[in-house]
Amino acid sequence: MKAKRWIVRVLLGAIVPVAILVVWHVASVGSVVVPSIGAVLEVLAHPLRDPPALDSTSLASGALISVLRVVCGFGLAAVTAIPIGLLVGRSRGAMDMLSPTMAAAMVISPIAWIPVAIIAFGLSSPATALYGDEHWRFGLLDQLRFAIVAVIWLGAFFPIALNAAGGAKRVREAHIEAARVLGATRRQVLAKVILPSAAPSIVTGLRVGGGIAWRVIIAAEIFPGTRGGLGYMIATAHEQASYEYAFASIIVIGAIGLVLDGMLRLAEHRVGRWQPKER
Amino acid sequence: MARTRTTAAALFLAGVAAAVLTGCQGEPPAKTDAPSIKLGHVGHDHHLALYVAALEGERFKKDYGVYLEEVKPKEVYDLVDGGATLARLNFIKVGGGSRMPAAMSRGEIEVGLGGVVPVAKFADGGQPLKILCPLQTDGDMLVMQKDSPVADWASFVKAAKEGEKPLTIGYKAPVAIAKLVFERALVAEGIAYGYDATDPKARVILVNFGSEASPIPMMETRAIDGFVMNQPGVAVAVAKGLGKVVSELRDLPPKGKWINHPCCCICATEQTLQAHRDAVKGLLKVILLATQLINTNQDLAIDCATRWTKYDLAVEKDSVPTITYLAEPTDSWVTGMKTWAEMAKDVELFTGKYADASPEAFVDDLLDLTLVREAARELREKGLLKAS
Amino acid sequence: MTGEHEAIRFENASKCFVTPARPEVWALRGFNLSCLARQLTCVVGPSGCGKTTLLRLAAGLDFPTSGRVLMRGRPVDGPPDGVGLVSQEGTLLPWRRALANVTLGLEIRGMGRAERRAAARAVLERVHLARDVERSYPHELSGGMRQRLALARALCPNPRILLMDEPFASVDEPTRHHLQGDLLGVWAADGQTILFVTHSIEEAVYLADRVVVMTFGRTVAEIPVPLPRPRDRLSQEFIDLLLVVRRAFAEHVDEKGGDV
Repeated sequence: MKAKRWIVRVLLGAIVPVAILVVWHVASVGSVVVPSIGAVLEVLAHPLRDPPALDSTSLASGALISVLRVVCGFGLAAVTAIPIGLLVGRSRGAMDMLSPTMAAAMVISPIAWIPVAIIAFGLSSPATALYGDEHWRFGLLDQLRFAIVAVIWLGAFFPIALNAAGGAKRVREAHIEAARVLGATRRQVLAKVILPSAAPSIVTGLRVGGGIAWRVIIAAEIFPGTRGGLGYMIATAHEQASYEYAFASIIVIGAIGLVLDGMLRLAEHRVGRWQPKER
Repeated sequence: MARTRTTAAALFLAGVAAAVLTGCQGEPPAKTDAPSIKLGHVGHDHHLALYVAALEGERFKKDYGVYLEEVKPKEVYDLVDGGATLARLNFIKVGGGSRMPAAMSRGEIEVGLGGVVPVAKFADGGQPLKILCPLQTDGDMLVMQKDSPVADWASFVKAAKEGEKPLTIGYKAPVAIAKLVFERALVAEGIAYGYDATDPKARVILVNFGSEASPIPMMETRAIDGFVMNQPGVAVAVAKGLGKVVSELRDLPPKGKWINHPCCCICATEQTLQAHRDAVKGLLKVILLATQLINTNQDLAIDCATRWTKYDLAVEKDSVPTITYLAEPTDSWVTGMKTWAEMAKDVELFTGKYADASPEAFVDDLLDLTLVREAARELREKGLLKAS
Repeated sequence: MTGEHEAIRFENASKCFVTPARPEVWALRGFNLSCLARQLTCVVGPSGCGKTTLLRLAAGLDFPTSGRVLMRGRPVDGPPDGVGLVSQEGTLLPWRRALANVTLGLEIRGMGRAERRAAARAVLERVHLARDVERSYPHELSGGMRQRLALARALCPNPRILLMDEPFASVDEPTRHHLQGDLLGVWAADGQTILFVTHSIEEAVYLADRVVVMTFGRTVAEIPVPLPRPRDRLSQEFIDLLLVVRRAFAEHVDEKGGDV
């Protein structure tokens, strides 16, 4: 019985992907822009190979570069947004000062900041900062362009900060007072009450910010002077009409996005497990 | 908890390993005391002279003594002349159009390969840029749908003027050379054109398909009847079976005006010229020799093009022969630059120092051909460069 | 030092709250109270009479508008050392399991993990919480168990003074009686000073050495309860004392119930 139900679930779950494959196949017949499923699978089957018909590094290398850029930008966003968010949530003055700007900036697509990031950071990277003219020796460090990381940071920062602020604001005074009566210092109140209380909101913010960061990377990698990355691969594939690489990149982007979201979802679940479930 | 820590540690180590692996390049290349010069380029076959020089370093070393020595493929090359390293060149693929002079104005590159019109536009705005030499001319086409009844310029004009509906023609960017030439040709033919599909007077509607995108999707969906663009975009569309060339833009009216129309060039800031004069001259020598090689050995040129750009061999076979590679400026090329100046005035492209400049003043200010002429002369004295 | 020294003292303490809706609300008006060490004092009064405010002042969570509060002879200028607070409900940290809630005070003091867990387990036993609730989250426990847990958390750092704000108000009567018994057991063993606030006269008489009747932010009567423990709720003496307190209540609390 259990096996039968499982089979039914799998079959149901397969309907939409199969439909997509059918539509894809039909669209690819006689098309230049829509590559055949086989052509895309061929690209996916050789992730480590430098594409013979595309001025780009391999799919795997591109994925690694994109992931590293996102991790850097997202990591920076988390490290800066959480304290600022907590401050805004707990301090009236900070809220009055920062909240309107944050709320306004949040609705601006991070992609709109790309030209500003280019002007501010140009081609600089940790490699250029540390090694100057020898930066090209340090492939991966050189790929972590500040401009790209900055745009990702911008995309992820505001949802994280605003969710952290909301979580911090909702901390019950009774909990804080309970800790204070037990002798907690302000630092201890922050660590033992405010942070854990706000943690589910913070993780929700991280999830939203992480999703935006991953979506932004694709546009941000079309910066001049960028080499490598999944977004770069898509742009180059369009330019060179090698659409199988574009499609393969999109599939990899989707897969990585799912994994990243899954990890954050798991974190959300673990951090929020003390919350009573709705009946 | 322990399992989470283990997983996190494993992921971190994997990341470090990946970073190390991808950062490693085996034996590290030797350091150099020569100055580092950042060189911007586009990555397609208009800049083939640079790529030939980069890929054929051994040949250049043997035959000419001035060459590019590979340090990191496609990224770093040492410029060597007579055994001395003049500079370490960092190749940066900045992209086409305004991106190159914009990168130069931000100090991200010191020498750039790109279109003359964007360079002129930035110079007009006050950037201290100089065009040092041409790279190529021509190589722009009008392409129509494969099954279009339009077969040449005459039938295009007829279709535009007498057709039931206006023709929709795509272009890459507002200041793309192909688009500017095409517009002038439409004016010469008395064909009204516009950018708004609802314009009742326009017989040709111009549609921007975006400078990073390609015309292919719009051609496949028939959103456009054709497009004007530089190579190798034209060859790609033809190779994919989505279009046919109906005219080279050099042949458009006014007759003769667009022959050898300037397209790409090499430019640098005045500061770079002062600081790295010898190195820039060395680079120009290499470009001159590479251009000569392209013009005498087309098979090699096509092979280098496909090796560098990764475009199909068939595409480059189609594209390279339609481009006129030229590094030593000719009178015809300088005249072509003056034509650009006049045309720019007509469309009010310049709003700064060139707004009211005569074509002669424009050319005098923007071009600095002394270095390339000096380089050519030195090569000729050694018998390396044939007479022009 | 004898057991007769003063543990808690309110000297003409007044507290005024200003809210947007009501410009001036005097929760305490010249409140005076002295609690001796080891004494169990119950303050009883109607809702809104200032009972919670007086505990908050004693706990250093708020400060008087005028007058002062002294704990063990020192003016209160923040949460004082050696004071535990048990509130009506909802102050257990919901993201910490039961044992972690109890160890919170010791954790704050920097005690080692093994040591504080051992201490917490000992306290849990004293309040009759079974070992198997250690890993439960507060929301997984019943109301009575939560209040035992709150009591355990307050007791774990060995406070000399316990402030209790209607801690058993939200549980049913049988559970309340058990909890009162547990509290008396702990108090008998440890001898803390307890200031217990309640709106239940019966609870006050059952627990206290002395019942303080409060209304409109001030004390209106102090009634000693010399009955021996354990007290029989059905005994005549108990009922008589209940009446005394009720009478004092009725005399000083107005017909509307003393809501301020």
